[in-house]
Amino acid sequence: MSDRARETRNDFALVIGFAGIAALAWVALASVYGDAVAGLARVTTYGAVGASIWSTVALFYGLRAGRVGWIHSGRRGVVVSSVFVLFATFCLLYALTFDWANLDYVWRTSKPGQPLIYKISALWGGMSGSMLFWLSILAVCALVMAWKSRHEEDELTSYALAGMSIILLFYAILVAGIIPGIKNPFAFAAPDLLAAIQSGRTRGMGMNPLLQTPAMLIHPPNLYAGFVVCTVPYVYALGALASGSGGTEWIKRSRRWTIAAWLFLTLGNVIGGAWAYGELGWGGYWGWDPVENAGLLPWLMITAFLHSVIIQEHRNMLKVWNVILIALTFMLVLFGTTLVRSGLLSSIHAFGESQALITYFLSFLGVNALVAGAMIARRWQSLRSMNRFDSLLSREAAFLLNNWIFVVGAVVVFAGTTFPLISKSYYTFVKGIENREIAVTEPYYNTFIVPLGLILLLLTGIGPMISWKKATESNLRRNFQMPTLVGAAAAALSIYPFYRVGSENPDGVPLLKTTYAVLCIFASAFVLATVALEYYKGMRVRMRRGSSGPFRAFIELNLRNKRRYGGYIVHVGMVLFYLGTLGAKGFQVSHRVVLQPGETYQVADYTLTLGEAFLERGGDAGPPTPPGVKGAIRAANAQYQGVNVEAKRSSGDTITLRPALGHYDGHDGPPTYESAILRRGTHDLYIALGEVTQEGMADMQVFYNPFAWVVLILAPTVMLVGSIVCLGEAGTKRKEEASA
Amino acid sequence: MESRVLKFVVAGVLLTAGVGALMFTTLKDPESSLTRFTPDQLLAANPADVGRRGVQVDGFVAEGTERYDMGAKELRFQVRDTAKTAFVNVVYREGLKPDTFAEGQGVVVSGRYLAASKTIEADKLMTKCPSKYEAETPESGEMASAVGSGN
Repeated sequence: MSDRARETRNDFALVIGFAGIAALAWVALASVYGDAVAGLARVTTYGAVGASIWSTVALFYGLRAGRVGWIHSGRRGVVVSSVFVLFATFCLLYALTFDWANLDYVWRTSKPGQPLIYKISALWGGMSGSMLFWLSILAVCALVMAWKSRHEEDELTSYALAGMSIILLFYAILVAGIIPGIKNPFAFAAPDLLAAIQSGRTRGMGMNPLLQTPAMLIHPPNLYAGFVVCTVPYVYALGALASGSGGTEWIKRSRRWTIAAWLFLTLGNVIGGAWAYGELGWGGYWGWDPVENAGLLPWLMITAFLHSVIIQEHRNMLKVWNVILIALTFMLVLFGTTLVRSGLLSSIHAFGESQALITYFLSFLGVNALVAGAMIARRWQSLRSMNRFDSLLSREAAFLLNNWIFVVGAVVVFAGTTFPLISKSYYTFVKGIENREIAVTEPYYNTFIVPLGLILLLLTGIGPMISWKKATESNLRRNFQMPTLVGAAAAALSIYPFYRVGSENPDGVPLLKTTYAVLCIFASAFVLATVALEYYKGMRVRMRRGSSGPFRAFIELNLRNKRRYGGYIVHVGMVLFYLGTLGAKGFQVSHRVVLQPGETYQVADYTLTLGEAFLERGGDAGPPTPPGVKGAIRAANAQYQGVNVEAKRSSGDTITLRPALGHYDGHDGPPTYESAILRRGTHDLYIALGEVTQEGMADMQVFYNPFAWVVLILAPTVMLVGSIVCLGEAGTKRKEEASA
Repeated sequence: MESRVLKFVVAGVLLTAGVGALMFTTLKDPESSLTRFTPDQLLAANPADVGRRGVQVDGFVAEGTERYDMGAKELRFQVRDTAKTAFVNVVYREGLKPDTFAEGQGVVVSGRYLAASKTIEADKLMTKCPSKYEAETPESGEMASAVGSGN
């Protein structure tokens, strides 16, 4: 172990020990003095600002002037600043857990009696807290970066950490409450409110009932982590440009981060969709809302990046392109944050509008664009690629096409998202009409995204199999003949069922949609067949060479080349996602049903019979939930008014579904939908209750969603497994490099 | 070398132009886009100006106007502006009213505007976060800010 590595280890031990003592001291002080000590926590948020200013200055000066002492000091600054942030987060969690309602933030997002898990998730239940939470994820990333690079304290990581410090500083300033629009999370409530709290007239607003669902525990953390982790590959890219360390070192070091960011973003978006699906009673999971798009845009970019770095590693091409992609990813994260936080665009999510925040975010975005652009220009000569594309029939070309599609997709989504702004300026400056905005709707997105997505799906099968440089005819035949035949067979078999669905639908199904559906089946089967072929070939080699059985060969194959086979598993997850979307989005059936007690209604092969109405407390033990029924989560702090609906399948079994309306204690807004979802292998039967009268007449919306669980559960799980396999590879490589 | 850069530029320009043209034609299609108004702007607008395109009206559910006919599966209400001076009728038959829909709350109505009867035949309603929070606190909508994606 080098001296520096030892020193870093000591630094970490010191800081963590110190933070531990501080946390204990905090608990002791807090238990004696109560929320009077909140001021101490507030100080640490300023401490984080100070420490990150220091680390930025020290690192840049040290690197520029070649002063090693300054660099080390700057690296310590990063660690100190991160620990300040984590300490502040700990304090806020403490305050939330023990109901320090005198703190404005706690009063707003929590209240006594709110279940503990929702007190904790109130950390990201409001603006200031969620910024602190965001910053704490960034702090964890910075700590891991500093720790991981203790053996390789070269200019690359030091510059990357310098970039990290600036970004830490950017968010620390927000959290400290220096920019109008966001308050410090430890600020006390306004005097009149404080008086009301102390006299006991109010004890807190409590979290919006819509947010009190288990998804609240996992969706925001995943999405935030996805957004935040994108920062790391970005600062590594900048570090590579600044230090002039060409080559693929920065890609290697940020590979795991990239995969992690991709995984978190994927899960964050999917869980968000699942949440909307289960919670909002509209039977859908994606609505192209600006805030949803804000999560999709960085995903599109980082997915492109994930693929194109492979080209750089193998063929030393696309160097500029990769830097641009990751820079765009980071900027789209900033853009997304601006959307979500500052009300730049009106969305169904009502966010506070703050001009100062918009300016703050957009200027940082502009600075980043300028810096990244200038640095690329400065290194242009060394970034130029030595290799060229030899043929359109090559892996490079397939990957490049994949990249173009992701980028075009992002442009389409970006244009759609910002179209109100674009059209507003067009009308104001060109036509001279004030206040005219055009918003795009779902058909706009479908027009572009569906065909782009289908080409992409096809490339998922082609890219990993086609040879580098130039594919020969025999390569093409060997790899693609069988998959093409399988795809064609599947497509042919699917034509009739799709045709029948179309003819049974009273409104008819447009020819284009049926065509897309058949093409989707073709591409899906094609991809699955290519993956199966790869596994078959790999396993056959292993089984011939050794005496291992097929199962063992399968496992060994995955472990041997984790990145490649992990990638295949993710691709299979992607195919499942497409197939599920084809069903749930393309062939959803929706019925508006109003029934008297005892009346029946037919949906697909279910006969629904309305039973008795009920009124129950969430805490009470109701009838047991039958297997397969999802949703209908009952919170202890709410009352539920609902109906029993018997769903009898033509095959015989009968299940009682209990959709309800939730009335949360102390929340006088409208009730929330607590839909009942019967989940079967091929479909969801989804019942949302709109209203139930005194006489027990119920107004419901019933959806039949083919393959909804495939999109929401199966596909993400497969992708999760695949990503974890991929993450394994980066680790082993690292160890090999470290020991070499 | 130069010719390669040129090729890239040409390819980029062609691609951008292609995508741009496609987007432009898509947006011409009245199905794919909506003109946004507040209720007062919509009432003041020249009917010819509203055009073939659908409208999207951003306002509040006017107090005391919500009527629901369960038999006809029809929701009627008025959407008003902030100043409570402009009211537009809305009729909605496409589904349940969205979560958190209530009088006095923010709502975004998308649909077709019939100028003669000052009515929007809505095919989509979207609600904003309960204004309970807005009324009591100047920094509105903090509660909703935690929701990343999903409605």
